[in-house]
Amino acid sequence: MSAEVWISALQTLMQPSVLFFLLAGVLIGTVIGALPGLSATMGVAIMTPITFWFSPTNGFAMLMGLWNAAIFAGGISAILVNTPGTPASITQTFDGYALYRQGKGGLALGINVIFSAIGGLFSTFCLILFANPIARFTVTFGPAEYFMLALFGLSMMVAVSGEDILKGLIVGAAGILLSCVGLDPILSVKRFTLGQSSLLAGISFIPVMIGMFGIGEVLYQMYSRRRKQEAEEMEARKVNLKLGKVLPSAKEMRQLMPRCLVAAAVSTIIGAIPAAGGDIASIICWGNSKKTSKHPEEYGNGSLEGLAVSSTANNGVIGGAMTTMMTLGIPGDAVTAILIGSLTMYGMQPGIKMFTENAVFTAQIMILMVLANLIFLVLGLATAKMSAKVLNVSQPTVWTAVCILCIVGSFALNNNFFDVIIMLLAGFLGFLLKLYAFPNGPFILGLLLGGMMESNLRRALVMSHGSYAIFVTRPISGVLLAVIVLTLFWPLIKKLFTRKAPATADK
Amino acid sequence: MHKGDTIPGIITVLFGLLFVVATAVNPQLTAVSKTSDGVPGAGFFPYLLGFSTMVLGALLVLRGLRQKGQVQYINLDEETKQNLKTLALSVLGLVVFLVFWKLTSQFMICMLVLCLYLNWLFQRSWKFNIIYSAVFTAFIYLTFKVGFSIQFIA
Repeated sequence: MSAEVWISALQTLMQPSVLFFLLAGVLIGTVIGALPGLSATMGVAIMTPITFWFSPTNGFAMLMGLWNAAIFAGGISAILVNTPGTPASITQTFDGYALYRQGKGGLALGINVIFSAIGGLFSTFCLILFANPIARFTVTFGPAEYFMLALFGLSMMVAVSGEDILKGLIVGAAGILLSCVGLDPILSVKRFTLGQSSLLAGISFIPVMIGMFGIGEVLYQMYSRRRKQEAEEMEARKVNLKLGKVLPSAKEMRQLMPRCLVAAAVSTIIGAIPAAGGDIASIICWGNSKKTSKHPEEYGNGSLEGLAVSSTANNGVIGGAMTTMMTLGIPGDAVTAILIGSLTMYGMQPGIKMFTENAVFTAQIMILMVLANLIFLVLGLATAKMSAKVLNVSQPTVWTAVCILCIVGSFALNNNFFDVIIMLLAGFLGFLLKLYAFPNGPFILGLLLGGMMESNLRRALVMSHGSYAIFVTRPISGVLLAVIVLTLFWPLIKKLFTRKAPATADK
Repeated sequence: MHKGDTIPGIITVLFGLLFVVATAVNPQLTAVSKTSDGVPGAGFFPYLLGFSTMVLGALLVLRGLRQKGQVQYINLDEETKQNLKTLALSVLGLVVFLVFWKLTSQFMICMLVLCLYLNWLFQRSWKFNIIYSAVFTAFIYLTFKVGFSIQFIA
């Protein structure tokens, strides 16, 4: 992207309205992230329909602010009440809470803010550097490559869906099956529309996301509520231990920096892998940092290093996830899946066109990410000691608000009552999936990528006159196919090797 | 049986079957396109995914039967029963809200009642309930109806 594009993007972003929406997004994200039970995905899903009433720049300013701040703020409750605000903050409970108990809560909160911003900024700069070349590389992609790419995204999502690959495959297949509802992408034949004109364009993706991550999550929290534990947690939140200083010393910063830069690089790469989110990145980075540390015994007992690495890693994935989303159209995580939906609503399609026809908007998104990190850095440090107040909100208060915002948000998308019904059904489905330990990620990805898979598969077969060899003979497609097979059969291969290993040892 | 993977497996098989049958009964949804040789038709993907879902569901049923009740997803203790009651009443409240909204088109009033009902269900105090519901309804009214001019006509 040329200098002109960046200057033009900067000029638009300097408007007070953009900065206002960015600030509003950061504030909302901080509250959502800090509250246990409210995730960044839920926040972005609920706020997305509202942003459609703004200009694309203002809308994305709010969403970028919300997402970046929510991930950082997940560390606040991890540090102060030992409960991760978002799944990505899981490793921050290991050291953050111990630091708080030692009277260093302020320092833990300060490190969370500073290193989250460093992780976020590092990965955003990687996005700025690498997104354009990757997007240009995709110019050579044809239908066979795009089909394989979609299949690769889905196979990765299935592979990381815990140990239960069968359940991951089932929900992935169900998602793709539901993506068949509507007009057939090649012949425009009506499929499974039940006579409803609202279903001609397919099942609306954003209401499904709102339902699954909003209502579905609330229903599951209602089901798994433990009143005694809840009362104990609320009591614990009322006991405010001394927080102490917030800013780390220059010496501490120097000691923590090299390790955190490595974590930022690793988490950016992890973020770029479809489906591998902040939780996976922070667990890997925290574990690796412990292995290579001079003081591994401190990890889990209030290690500044451990907390800094975790904080860096969970925000570090954002730039990586955005790179995959903007260049290939494959969501890196659930939030980027919603963002693809948003871009589509604005009439944009992720891929090379984002860097040619919509280059200014793409540059704006990247700059907004940098600004979001800088704003939450300043705001987070200034309000670190006040952030404990947010945690006093009880769960039922949040549940009522989420239920109503889900209804309002899903209706506001297209002024369509049918979207609200879809959202409620998706919410109930989300609850059942969670209840029976089915991962919901592959379902979301299947629904989102199903259309892309089907249309490209059929286009590729039209090109090859029905020969499936096209998927193997084209180099990129062939490589992707090999990776997909390896990804899906890796657990089996691993089992085979672990069985052979003891047998060889016995000999 | 109901606690393990068997019932989810049966539901998965039925879900796949539903799509296979719906594809089979529609003459336009053929597996092979009528216009070009060897190229898939509009029914190809639903058939492929429908059958795949059925096979995967059958595998889940088998796994559920092998588990012999050792895996439990639902543990119906006293607190969970109470939670399920609250959950069912919440879902009922949401459904009734949708019906009344559709019938009366009075979104704001229906929403206020839903807000009061949910807070009552979650055993919040009357004072909190009234203040919260009034403030939240006012927020939705001002933001969406006045600010974004959404008419909320179902």
